Amino acid sequence: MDELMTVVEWSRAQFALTAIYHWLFVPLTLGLSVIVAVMESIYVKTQSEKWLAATKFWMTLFGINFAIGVATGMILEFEFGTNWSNYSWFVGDIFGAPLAIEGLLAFFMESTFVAVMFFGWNKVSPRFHLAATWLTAIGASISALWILVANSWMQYPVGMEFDPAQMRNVMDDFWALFSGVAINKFLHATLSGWALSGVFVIGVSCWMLFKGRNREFAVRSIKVGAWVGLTGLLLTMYTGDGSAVEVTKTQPMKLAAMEGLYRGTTEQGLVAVGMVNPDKKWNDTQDEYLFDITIPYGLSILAKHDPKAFVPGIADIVEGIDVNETGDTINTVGYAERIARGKAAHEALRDFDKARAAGNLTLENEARERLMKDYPYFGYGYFDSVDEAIPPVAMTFYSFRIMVVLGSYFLLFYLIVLLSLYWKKLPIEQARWLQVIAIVSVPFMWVCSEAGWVVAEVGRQPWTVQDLLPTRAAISSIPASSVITTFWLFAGIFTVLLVAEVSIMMRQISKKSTTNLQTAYV
Amino acid sequence: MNTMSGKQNTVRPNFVARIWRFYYEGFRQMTVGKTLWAIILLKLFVFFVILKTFFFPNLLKRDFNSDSERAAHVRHELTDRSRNKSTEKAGPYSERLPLQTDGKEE
Repeated sequence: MDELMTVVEWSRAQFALTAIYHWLFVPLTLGLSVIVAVMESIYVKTQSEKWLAATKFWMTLFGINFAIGVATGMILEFEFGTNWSNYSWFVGDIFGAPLAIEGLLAFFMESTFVAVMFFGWNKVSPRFHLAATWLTAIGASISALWILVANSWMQYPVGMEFDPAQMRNVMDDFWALFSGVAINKFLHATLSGWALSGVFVIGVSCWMLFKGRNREFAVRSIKVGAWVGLTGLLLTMYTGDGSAVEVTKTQPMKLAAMEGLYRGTTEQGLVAVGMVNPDKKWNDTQDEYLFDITIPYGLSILAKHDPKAFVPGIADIVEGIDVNETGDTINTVGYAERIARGKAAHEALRDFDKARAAGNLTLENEARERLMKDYPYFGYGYFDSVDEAIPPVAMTFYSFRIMVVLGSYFLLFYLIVLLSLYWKKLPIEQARWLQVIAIVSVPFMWVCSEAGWVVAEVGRQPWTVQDLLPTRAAISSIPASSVITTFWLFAGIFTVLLVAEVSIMMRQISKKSTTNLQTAYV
Repeated sequence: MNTMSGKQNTVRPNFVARIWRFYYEGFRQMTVGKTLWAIILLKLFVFFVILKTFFFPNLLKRDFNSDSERAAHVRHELTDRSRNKSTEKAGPYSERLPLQTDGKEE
């Protein structure tokens, strides 16, 4: 295995590992903070001790998840500086500003308001405490905003100008970072946390029902979890649609990979269920799918909100073929031309470097002009064949389907849970089959959530910065052995942390569920 | 209220002192929180003292003294044909990166 893997692949694997681990904790922080804030709002309004008890119970679980998740994201920043030093220099102050704001915000908001949340009972007024809880929830989302703005820039680099002297992308329009890509991604990722947390609350509560413990408390919690979760899920689906429209415009190759589409048409269907042909190449005539069940017009509607719209496939994008709204075939910049222009940009950068070293300002400016003309294709200059510019189709295709199928399942799940709360013929307190389904569903929500990130990040390959910097160029020149070492180090550390969280969480749930949760406890 | 027999202390601690007491008493009264804080502190130690120091140096900061040196290094890395050469096999999972090249162009 060591002989086959390279420093690029180990670094990718390490980043994927740390990102996946980090995302195990984040969505529960984002969503459970909102659920706790809603429960506390009900308590402050009703002055009912039962709601105070519910708030404190779920706040404890929020605290456990928050504590275990603290700083797991910092490892990603460490990796930028060690494994991806070219990338971290190249992105320049684009990343610096959002990550710095996130760090400051996270530190100040969370150290202040989380402290009031946990230490402030009976020390501050109920309204002040409630404000602190809401500010914790809002602060967590605002932290997520900056990270997602930075990630969105990787997918759609805007608001900057490349400076060949500094070899950095210099921000020239801060507000351009808040593109449609960024806004949709932020809302989609954050609201998915609400959906996940709702399933978590329902699952834990159903476990209590299954064990015959604190039934009234459990039903009360399920109500809040279900409404917050369903709201989050519906908005996640809405923003997911928005993300698909943005991806169609800014990363059409990713959309084509998500669909396993090689040759597009107008009135393009969406594969609901299918298997991609693993041997299919972009320039052969093999079938794209081993089998597929397609929703007619589905992809045209998803991508362009127009059932008749043309959606390009991988081969169309490579060959530079598109169809406009009037049905005319138009030429876009094909990949052969992009590679040629990318190589020309590289040559211009070398000439710039030589001219600068020689102190020849005329040649330096001429080289700079040539570079900037072809800079939009800079990243393509690293490729010798178009295959290198195509993302892993199978992984992108299947992870997209896992996310959508599970997301659809959870929509049905939430509807049935809500029905069981309000329809006397299907009371959730007695429907043991539904309680078991709810308990078993909890880990699948995490699978759904992680699958979404796999689509986003595998679908953007081979790019670290879309069109500008592939992973091969972004990597540091370090021995593979150091990356392999830290990969296994992280695997061990994060597994220990995960086991610690799950065991502490389960112990708290089990212990507290045997007490009377109708009244507040300290 | 002052009396002849004694003086009641009505001086309220200052703002900083009250903040300090808030956190101090909060930490002291924690139950499961104490375990969580132990985990947090251990984790922060492992991340920032051990991992960051020994395994995750910021290479550009460590190996170069100025931004112009860093820029020159990155420019070389991004334009060195031998470093960034694609492999014979197509596809993103067959990239091979030569280690520690001498930077000479082909």
